Amino acid sequence: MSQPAGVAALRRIRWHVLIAAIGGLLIAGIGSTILVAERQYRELPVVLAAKQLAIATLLGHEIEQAVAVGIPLDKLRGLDDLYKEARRDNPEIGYIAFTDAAGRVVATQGRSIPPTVELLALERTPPGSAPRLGDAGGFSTVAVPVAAASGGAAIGDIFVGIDPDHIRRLIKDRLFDVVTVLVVTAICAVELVLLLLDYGITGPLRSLESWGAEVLAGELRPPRRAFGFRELHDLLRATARAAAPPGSGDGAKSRVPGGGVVPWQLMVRFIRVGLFLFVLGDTMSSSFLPIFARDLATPFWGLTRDFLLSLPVVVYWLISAIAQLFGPPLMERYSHRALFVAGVGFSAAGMAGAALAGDFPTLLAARGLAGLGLGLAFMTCQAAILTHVPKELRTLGIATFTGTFFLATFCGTALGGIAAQQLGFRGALVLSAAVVLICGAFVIGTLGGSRERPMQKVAAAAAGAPAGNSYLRLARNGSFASLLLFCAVPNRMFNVAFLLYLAPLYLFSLGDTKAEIGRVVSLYGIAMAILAPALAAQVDRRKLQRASVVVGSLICALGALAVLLDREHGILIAVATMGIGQAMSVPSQMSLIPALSGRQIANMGLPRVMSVFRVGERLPAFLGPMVAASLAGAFGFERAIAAFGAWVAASAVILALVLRASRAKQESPAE
Amino acid sequence: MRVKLAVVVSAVGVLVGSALAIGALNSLYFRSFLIDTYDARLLATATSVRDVYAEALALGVSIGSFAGGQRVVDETLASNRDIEEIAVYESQGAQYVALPRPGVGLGEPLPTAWARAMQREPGAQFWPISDQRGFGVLVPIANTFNKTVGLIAFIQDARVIERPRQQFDRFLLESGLWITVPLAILLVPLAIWAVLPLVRLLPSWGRYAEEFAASVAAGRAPPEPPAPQGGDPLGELLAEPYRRLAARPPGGSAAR
Repeated sequence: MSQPAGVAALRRIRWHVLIAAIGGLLIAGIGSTILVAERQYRELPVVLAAKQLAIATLLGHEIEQAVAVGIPLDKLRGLDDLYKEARRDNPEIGYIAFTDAAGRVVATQGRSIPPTVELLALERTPPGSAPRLGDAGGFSTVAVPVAAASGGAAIGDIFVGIDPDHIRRLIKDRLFDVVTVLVVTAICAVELVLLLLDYGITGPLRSLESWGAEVLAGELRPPRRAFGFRELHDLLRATARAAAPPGSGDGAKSRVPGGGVVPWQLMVRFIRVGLFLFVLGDTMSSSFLPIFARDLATPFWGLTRDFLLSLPVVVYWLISAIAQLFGPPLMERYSHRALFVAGVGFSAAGMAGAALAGDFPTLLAARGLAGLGLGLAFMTCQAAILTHVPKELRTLGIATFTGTFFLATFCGTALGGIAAQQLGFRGALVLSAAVVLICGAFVIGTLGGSRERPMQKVAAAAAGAPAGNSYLRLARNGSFASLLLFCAVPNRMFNVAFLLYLAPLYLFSLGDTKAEIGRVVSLYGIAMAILAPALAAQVDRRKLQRASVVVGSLICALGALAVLLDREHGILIAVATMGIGQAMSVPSQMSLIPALSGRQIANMGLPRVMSVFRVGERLPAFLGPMVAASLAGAFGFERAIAAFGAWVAASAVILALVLRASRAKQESPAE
Repeated sequence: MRVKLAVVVSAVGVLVGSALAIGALNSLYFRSFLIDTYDARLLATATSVRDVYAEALALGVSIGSFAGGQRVVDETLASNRDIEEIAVYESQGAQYVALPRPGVGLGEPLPTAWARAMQREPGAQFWPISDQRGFGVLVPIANTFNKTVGLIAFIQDARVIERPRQQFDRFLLESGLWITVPLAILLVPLAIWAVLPLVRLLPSWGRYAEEFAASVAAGRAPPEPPAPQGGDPLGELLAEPYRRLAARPPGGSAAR
């Protein structure tokens, strides 16, 4: 018997299924994306030409009227100004030209006018017809004949050319829409494939694998639960009967006290899918909530409108942070499933409340409920992942949490925008509540097999909360405090200040559109989602948590300094490096906590220590945009970003020294 | 569901579901793009009509008493068959009320949803609007002091985007079928190949486990595990534990 060979075979099957499923999906997705993009590339100028035709007709109408009142074309003045105004109102117009009946150019306006010979060769669009596009000097041009108002002979022709840069920009936007659709579908499909695969095949095989390992270790007990696709379910059931002590009945129903009934990999999959659904529903309203809030905001207590509009976001995040502070006592008393479901309930009630809100205070209360739900669900998911993932894979576990959060945020924001367009804001909020409730049903059905130990929870709850000086001792733990103050807080404050305030406003000041800003900022989430789990696997394998938090912070900081060197690409580099750096540092921060505060964890429990860290990291984050606004106002955007980068870099250096000293202390023989 | 069937159904189901999702989302995105594009087209016409009213205001003629305005509106309606309605509103205090037009009485207030759109973006150059007939734009009419004293709403028939949208949807459906059907057919053997090492020997291991359990229950000596075969993941996972199980002493205590 070779156990590693069995594990390798199991991995092989998993890879085969993944390659088949994801390969099929990718071929279908990329194929359809290319087809859709190609079609739109061909058709977009034609669709846009309808507007140019309307403009050309209107401009032609002005000339018709002038000629009708007896002004000869050669005496007509002001056409240049008229065209200039038309171009100012419609920036996509590259040029406008008017030629008389003899083909002489009478008036033009634009950055470059095609040669007259090319203009005259264009096909004209007859009145009332669909626009006919032709190419003149690289511009897609609509040519419209201008007839005398009385219906007489043609006076001339008017030409309106679409700026090719505008078409390229629109095609880029459309392509981004198409790629977004592909990415959102692929993410959801891969999550579903992995869930089916892990529940139907990999999970039962893992169960058999761990049962085999237990038997070889001398633990002759049946597998804990029969599940999976039929033959595997039957095999587990038969194995349970075979392994049950004679006369003990059906072994498939037996459970080991305190043990999980499904393998940890499958339980983490369930938590991941639950978290994905929760965040998907929760973030569906992100794209339109500020606009929805404007509908309801009516000034009260003398508060300014801008301040009021920030309240739904502030209330939501503040309550989610506070909920995590009060979470640990609940975790000692209630199961992960119960707390997650409670989070789902609050969140769904918050979404439904927002959908029904008739005034601003009701909306605020609803957002508070949603924040409470988010806080409970977040705290529970992190605790559940740390409970199930083996200690040596904690960074990977947290990275899984982080990656799932960003993947779901990307999908939720994209789908929420479409839902709001189709169903309206209130309809989209109801849909969000429905998605969150589906998450609740999933969690009820799957998290029952958790390996938490209810008896231990009751005992911990009975023992009561730790004394206040336990928190003081935690604060005095130099390594823990340094990790919080020199890594978590600067990184989080910079993150919030940069992604929510500095980067969007700076890009806007450079002339980028909302869509372009959204694309640049979304790069952070994509980098986090893809890189966090991949890097975490390496960090766990090589035990590089300490190096990872320091190097990650430095990468993030160096990227921020790039804005001083290159205005155009600096922000892109800063966003990307923040994604890469924080993909390295964020999961490692959480997995370092047990190593840095072992005594306090023994005294207070891991959930309490984690909650102190989380709240300590999140509460100051609210200051981020305020500090950013002050710095940007005083020194400009580039220097404000660079100042944050310098702060993160200096903090990382201090943290490196502290961690080095703490490691030396741990390794010293005296200890 | 049997492993082979479950894998095939899952793979094809996820593929078809993804194709449907891609098609539906692309269609929705395209619809939104069409609305923006047609709004932009309408805006060109709306701006020119609005300018006529603004010029009248500059000459001291109020919106309500500008007789030439209705002629411009009628001409615009006549030359743009897609425009369903043009409604002119004049400010009266904090409210905007409609000038008379067919089917609408004088003084009818601005629809609440449109007023909300204005409230959301008070400084906008236009507001996208919609009602049961279609969608369009609402443009402000400003006086010489740049104060908004009136509004013009242009509504175009929702059907204007139906033709390009239907063409696009037909294209999505056709290309979706061209991609999905062959791929689904290809995916069936591929999915079976993926789990073949597992399902090939799964029945024999299932039978063995049943026989083993029956032997234990009947107090007989358990059978030997199936003969090892190359690339048998179940054999690698189960053969030795079952041998160890078969060797356990009567009563089932741990055989460490």
